[in-house]
Amino acid sequence: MKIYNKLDDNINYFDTIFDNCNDIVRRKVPIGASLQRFAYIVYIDGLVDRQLIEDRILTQTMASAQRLPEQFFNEPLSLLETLKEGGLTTADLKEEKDLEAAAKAILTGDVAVFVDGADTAIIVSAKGFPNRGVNEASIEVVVQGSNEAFSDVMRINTALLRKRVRDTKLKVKQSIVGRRTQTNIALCYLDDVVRPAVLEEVEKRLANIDIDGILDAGALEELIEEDFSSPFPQCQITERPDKAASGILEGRIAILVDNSPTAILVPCTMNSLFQASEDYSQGWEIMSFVRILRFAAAFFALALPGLYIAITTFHPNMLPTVLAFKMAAARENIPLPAVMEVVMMEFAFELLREAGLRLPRPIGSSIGIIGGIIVGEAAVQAGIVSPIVVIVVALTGIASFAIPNYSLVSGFRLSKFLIIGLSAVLGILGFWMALIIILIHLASLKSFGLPYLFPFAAGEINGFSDFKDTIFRAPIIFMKKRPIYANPEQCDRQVVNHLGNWHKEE
Amino acid sequence: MRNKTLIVKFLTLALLFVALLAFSWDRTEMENRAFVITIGVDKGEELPYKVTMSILDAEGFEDGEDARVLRDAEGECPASAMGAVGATISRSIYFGHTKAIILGAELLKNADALSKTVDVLSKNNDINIRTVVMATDKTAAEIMNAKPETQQMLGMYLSGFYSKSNTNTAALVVKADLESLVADFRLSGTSIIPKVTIDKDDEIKIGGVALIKNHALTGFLTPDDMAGYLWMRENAVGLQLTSDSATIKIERSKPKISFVEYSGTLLCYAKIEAVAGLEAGKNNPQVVEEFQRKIERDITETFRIFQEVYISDGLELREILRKHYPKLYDKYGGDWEKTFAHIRFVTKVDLEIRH
Amino acid sequence: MFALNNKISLRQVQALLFLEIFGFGVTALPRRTAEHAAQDGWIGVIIAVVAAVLLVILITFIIKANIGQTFYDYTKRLFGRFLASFFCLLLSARFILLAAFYLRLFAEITQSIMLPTTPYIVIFIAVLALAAYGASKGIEARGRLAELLIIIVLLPLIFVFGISSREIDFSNLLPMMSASPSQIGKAGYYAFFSFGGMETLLLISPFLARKKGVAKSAIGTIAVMGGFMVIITAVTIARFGAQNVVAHNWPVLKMMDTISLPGSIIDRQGALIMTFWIISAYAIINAALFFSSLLLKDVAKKGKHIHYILLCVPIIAIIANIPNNIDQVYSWFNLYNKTFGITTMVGLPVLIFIVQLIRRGRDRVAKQDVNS
Repeated sequence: MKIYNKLDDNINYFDTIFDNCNDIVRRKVPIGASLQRFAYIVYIDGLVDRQLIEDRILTQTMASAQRLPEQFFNEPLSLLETLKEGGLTTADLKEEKDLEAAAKAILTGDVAVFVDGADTAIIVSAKGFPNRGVNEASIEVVVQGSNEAFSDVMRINTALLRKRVRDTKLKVKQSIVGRRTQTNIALCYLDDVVRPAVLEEVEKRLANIDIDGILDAGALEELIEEDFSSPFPQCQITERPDKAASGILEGRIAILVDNSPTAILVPCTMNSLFQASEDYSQGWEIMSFVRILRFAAAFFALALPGLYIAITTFHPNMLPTVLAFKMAAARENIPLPAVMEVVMMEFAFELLREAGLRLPRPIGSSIGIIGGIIVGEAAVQAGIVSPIVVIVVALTGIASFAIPNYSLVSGFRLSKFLIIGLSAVLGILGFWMALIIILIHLASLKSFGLPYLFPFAAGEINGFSDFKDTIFRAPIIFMKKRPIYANPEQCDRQVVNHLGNWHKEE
Repeated sequence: MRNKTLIVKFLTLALLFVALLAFSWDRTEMENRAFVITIGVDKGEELPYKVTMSILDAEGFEDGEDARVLRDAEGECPASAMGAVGATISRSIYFGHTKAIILGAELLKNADALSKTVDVLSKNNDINIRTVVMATDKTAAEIMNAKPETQQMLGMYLSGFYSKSNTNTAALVVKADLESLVADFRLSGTSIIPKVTIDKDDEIKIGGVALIKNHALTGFLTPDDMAGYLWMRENAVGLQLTSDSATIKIERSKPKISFVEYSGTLLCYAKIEAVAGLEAGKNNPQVVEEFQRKIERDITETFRIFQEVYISDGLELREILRKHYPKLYDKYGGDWEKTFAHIRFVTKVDLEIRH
Repeated sequence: MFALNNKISLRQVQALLFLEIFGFGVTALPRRTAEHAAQDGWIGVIIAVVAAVLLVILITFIIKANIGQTFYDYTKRLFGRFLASFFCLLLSARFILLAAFYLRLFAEITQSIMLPTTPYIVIFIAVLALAAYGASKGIEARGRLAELLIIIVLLPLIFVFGISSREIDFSNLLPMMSASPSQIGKAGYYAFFSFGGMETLLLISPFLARKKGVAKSAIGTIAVMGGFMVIITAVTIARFGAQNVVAHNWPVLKMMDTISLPGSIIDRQGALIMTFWIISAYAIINAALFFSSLLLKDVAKKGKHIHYILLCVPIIAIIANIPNNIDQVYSWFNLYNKTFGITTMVGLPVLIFIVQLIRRGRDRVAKQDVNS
């Protein structure tokens, strides 16, 4: 729909579509000395920078334009031109000839200026909506390194990335998803490092989405995942710009969603979910140790309760004799079978975790700890559960917190119950069956064509060089190649000219 | 289409899961298991077999008190007797942590009964085939009834006694477990089982062995009789020897046993190379000579007892012959008892004493 | 994007092959060979390994000549449609029977060492469901999984056998070479059946991207696995002595069960060896299901792979349920191996190889004719 020549038609149009939208400011202002001509300004109150509108638009159109010679007012287009060139003193403006597009621009927080007699509108970018600014990371906290986190505003987020990667090759490709929410989505990637096929696939999947609204990155993640029925995340969600930047440097694509303080990194492997940004800011020895710890924690979080059930109720001969006797003694007079005991305690623990999230922050942290201690202690005292089960469940819970990625933990938390169930029926056989089921599932997963278990499986695609950053974190100078995500033509990450021993003379 | 398969998948899984959960066949809670620590087998009074079990009393174990419950029963065969013991308690008998098996003297004397017992015990999948086996000159029940002050759980005591970490004793005693017993029975029917007994103060004493020949007990050997045995089976390390002028501790010993044919029979030549450390006294050629003579006497005496008193190849010379002298074995191995009775035995000890 | 779809790498082929053959092959191997050649049983295994390597050379020749084609495709080209279908059904029957035997064996062992009162049928259903799930995920997932599982299988195995070396009396292998050549030959003959499952290689050709290195990696796998088998056989015989090995149904499992691990973290590892055991069972039954259903699908030329998998599952379960006891299982298995097994395992590849050679010779002649 083209913009009408007559200003009143345009005003009518906006009056119709913005009926009952009291937050939208529409004002017809006279311009020029004769006050014969009018301009029409539309914007949404609260989404725009009020200061900028008053200083740069209203002052200019109403006051400055009055000084213009009379003949400008007879030719609407040149009036518009003048306003654009000299009237409105702001850099970010563009012309728009389509009425609907203008309306959309208004909805995103721009200001539209219509001039009587001109079939073109000026869209001034004056976004100034409320935001929290750049906050501290709250989920992926690190001891050492930057603690900046993404904000709710996409523009700030792209700026945070741009700040870290000052390369002209860093592209920020924007599109809009959501029929009603009209959410801005930005694909950030390094043009030459990203694999073109992956980029194409991401764009294809984004184009495939036809939904009324996207309110958060998590929803978008589910829509572009390969296997939506999997409990394991196939995209990496991060709230840390440094992590997103490092992902971009590796050749991955960071998807930013407006109004969402997280970025989605694709493609992703399970291994990359075990990596924290801190891993590279501390020594490789300690971080290798921590990595081993994390993988062990993952195993515990997944398998410990099942293993406990399988061993104690089916094969107590695996336990050292004295321990077996102690455990048998601890279970004396406990009315519940071990399975129920474990399931009950697991349930209680998950409940505490969930409740801890919902509670106001000052109480939240204490309820987790105190609730755990008190409930566990009381249950033991009451003789409902044995102390060893409390240890097992607590260890499982603690282990799950050692994994850096929150959505990966969710996958483990759910799979844990499969292991518990099968272990309770078939003992160690069931335990292994459940584990193999999970492994089959993981082996069949792919994230944008990349095997999820890479590089533990199919490691040879990249000549096994990705193993340097798995269970061990090799020294950074050893990681000369970029990971698998990068375009093979751009696989060189660094050139090591000199390796340590600076003081040594030849 | 996709939804349909998903529903089918989910339903199958759910059904399978429910079906599996509804039945669980081998699940037994820890507190419902009766952990048997020691099994004693005797000749029964009314029925052929009497099995005594020392079972863990978990509550007592936690309180640090007497944690044993003794139960016994008799049966037509060892397995049924074991089953009958199970009927005397409310929990299910569990042999996964059985530490020792004690065989009574009367049972040992009956070849059939002993073979059957060993067979039943070794075929039980819960019982570790590495479980220590002991013989006693009394009944197993008596030994298990004794309440020694040092260690209340006899089985734990015995397995601790034989565990590898216990360097003081491990080397110096003969060890038998279910596996070696089964193997010996399968090969020759000759075996050696260490003896356990109690003294007047109800204290456990380990020493000497029961010699099994043709699957039955032929006699008990004293520790003195067995002095040479250790030297021949290369576990004399740690042995302490005392003479008038010195005390030594063996650090290394290696037997080298060879056979030659000698006027229609076999000549067995055992050369022992040993290194010992001087613990007390002086080190001079006379002392060395003295110890060498003593060890040689011990070995010869042990061999004599095996050969002349029991005519039983407790040293397993036949196996050595079979492995290293297949030709001689073909010639003499057939009627081994006869051959063994006529073997001429020569031994030489080469001892080196270090400071 | 990163790797080709529905293709697997040579490494994955190796891992699959190893897992499929090794676990079940090795458990009874020391007993089988010691029955015939006593302490020289391991020499029999060496003979079997040589035979297996020769066979694998034949098979890799066939698949290299037909890379990218299914078994049905290339046998159709060589023998015509009717015989090709027949071969497919033959191989498919072979896999189904193999899976049924191994499934029954697995259930027997599981019952005897850990779940004494659980009915067979439960174990059958559980393992088959697992295998079917794995097979339905396609060749790529199978390959990737194999790469992981092989680590889970091999590390504990090497660890356990490394530790066991402290307790082994190698004099049990003496006197060497006392068995007659015919005894050793017989041991080798029976040991050769341990390589059952090797013929899955015949079906791997459509999943390979290129033929370079196929022969080398397949032969290498069989040779390395053969080496493992020889070592394990020798070690097991040395550990128990030839006479005692014969008395155990599954000497290798018995051996792993009774080794005392240092540090006494685990008192007995009987249930831990289940790791090794269930992964082996999964691997071979999964492979059998995958390939037999694939062959059936090729013959029928319609439907989806998953439908044929679901068709094979009850068949395998029913066949596995037939024998009455473990002795019958073994005697039937021996009979099966000596007749049907050897025809499909050796006869079929040799036949295809010969026809392939003739074909190639003829093609070459034809080409020369055209050129001249």
